[in-house]
Amino acid sequence: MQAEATNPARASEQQAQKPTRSGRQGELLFAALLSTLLFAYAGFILAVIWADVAWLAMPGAESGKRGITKVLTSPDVATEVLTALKLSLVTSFISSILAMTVAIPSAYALSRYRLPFRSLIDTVIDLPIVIPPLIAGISLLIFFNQMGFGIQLEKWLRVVYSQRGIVVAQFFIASAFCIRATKAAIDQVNPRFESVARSLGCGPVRAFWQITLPLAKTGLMAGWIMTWARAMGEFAPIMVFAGATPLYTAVLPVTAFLNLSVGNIETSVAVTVLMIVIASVTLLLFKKLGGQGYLW
Amino acid sequence: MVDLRIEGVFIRLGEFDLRDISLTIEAGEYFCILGPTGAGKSVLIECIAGLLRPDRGRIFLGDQDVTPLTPEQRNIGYVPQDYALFPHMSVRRNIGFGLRVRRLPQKEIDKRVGQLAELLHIEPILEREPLHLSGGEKQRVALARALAVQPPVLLLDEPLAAVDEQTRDRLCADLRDIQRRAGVTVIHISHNFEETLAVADRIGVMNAGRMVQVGTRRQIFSAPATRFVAQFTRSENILPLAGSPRLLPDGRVRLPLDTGDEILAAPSEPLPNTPALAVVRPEAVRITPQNGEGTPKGLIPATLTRITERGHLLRLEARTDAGTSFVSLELRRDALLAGFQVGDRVHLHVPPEDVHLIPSEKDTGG
Repeated sequence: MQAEATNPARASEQQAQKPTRSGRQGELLFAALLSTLLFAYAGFILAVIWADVAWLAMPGAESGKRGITKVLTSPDVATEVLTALKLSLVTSFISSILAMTVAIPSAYALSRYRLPFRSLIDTVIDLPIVIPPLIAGISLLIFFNQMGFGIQLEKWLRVVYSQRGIVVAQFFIASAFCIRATKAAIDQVNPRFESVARSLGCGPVRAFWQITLPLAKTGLMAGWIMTWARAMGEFAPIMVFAGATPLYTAVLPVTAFLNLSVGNIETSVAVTVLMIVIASVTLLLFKKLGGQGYLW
Repeated sequence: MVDLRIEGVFIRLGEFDLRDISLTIEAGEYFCILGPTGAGKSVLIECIAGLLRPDRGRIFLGDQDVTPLTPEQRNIGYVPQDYALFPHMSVRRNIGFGLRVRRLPQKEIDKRVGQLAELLHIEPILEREPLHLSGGEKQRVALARALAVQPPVLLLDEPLAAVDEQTRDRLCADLRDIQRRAGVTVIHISHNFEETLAVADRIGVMNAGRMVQVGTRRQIFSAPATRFVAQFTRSENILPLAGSPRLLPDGRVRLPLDTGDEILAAPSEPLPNTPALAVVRPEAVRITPQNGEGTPKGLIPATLTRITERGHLLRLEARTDAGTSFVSLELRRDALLAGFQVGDRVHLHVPPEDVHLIPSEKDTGG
């Protein structure tokens, strides 16, 4: 007993277990500080979004009409916005499907196989995420206009300054996000399921179709939604690579920018609000499907 | 039923090597692979299942060389540690999975699933989802799913790792029973020696990617081949020898220990050329209180140094006057009757027939 009482390690352990008033207050203060910063940032985001909606509802400075009414009642503006919306929806749908087609096999290979140069490939795939979008657009332009292989492809596909170019630019960026999202979904499926399926007579393709794919379904769906949202929001590479021709290659973000640059603030803000609504619904869907938020 | 033969299987996985494993498992045998975590047990059965391809060596199922075959071509049953029941299928669909892959008629599938459900007593849970099953139920479903395709060999990777001790005893008995009734050769991986003693016909002990000993339960229990096997199977008295054993006229041998003590051994097998360690199981060592009338022949005087509770057993540690520590497991009832206290003077009896010798050149596993 004596040995226990004089043991310094045990003595400090007993001291540590004793709650002190100042310790508890420090913990509360720390938690309060963190939460305040969190709430402040969330509040800032909401305030910025609210500003768009509120501004649109204010009386127009020039015409005296309310901004939202002006936008809704002008046939030219409505045509421009609706065309851009349709173009955005169609191109982002196509590019996200193309991205999924590439991403699912790529992500599966990254997740399951011991590939040569694995870490190099892994890094290369992340490049479109970290390269500034404008730079990606310029690089695409150089590739399809100046490089031998790119020129051949361009002759065949005709993508530069065309609506197809929108899909190419969206695909180039969104695929990287898509691979990350689908890999997260596939990583969550225990490879043992496939091993057991193989031992029960399944070939690798059937094990993938009947076991891995159904089990990764929700994660893949969430990944697709986020890829689509990313493609929908792409701006700079489309502007550089596909051009910014109203009613032809101007997708929603490009339309917002074009209108802002010539002073049609109401139209620009209307498009902004429309895009915020689309993004919010997408995010809600993504969360509902249990998508991995940490990827973005 | 067919036997399984492994010949010189070698595989390198990063820093880990599975080194030249050779082994024959008889048809209908219940074979346990015992070893600590990281010994390579799972790697070996993944090689047998075809999930890993060895760099060298061959695996034969009966006369057929299955080494080049994929897992789906081998028809070897595999139950992983976490059972890996398909969560998006009911129990019935899980069990029938392999039969559907083989495109059997639905009637045949239903019949076979019914038979297996009866064999494993899982009829009431056939329509349930795997997520809502208990550990024991999951195990039975996983066994049924593996047995459905009638594999000649069934691989069980730590099948009892996730169950409590009481359930483990019951499941051990069940596994043996199921194995006999299904007529399948079983290879069961475990890190628990007691578990393997309860189920195995034979045991293979693995350490650091090597198979260090293969033998019957009795052989592994009382005649460990290396220091590692002795330690892993809790032969707590592992005593280094100081010199060569001296043969006595009665056929027994006198073993000089490195502490200066001497013990007798009556080896039933020929002595190894260079014995280095004497191993005595703690169950064999008897400790009796000294009654103050000198030390009878064959007993060693010692002092009790530690008493530890082990359920219905007491673990007694005693040190001889020369400094050799011996461990004895005594029935709690007997030890309490003797009234042992730490510091008591006692006599040790080390039965010569329970002393096993380990040669030095084989002592590489530990």
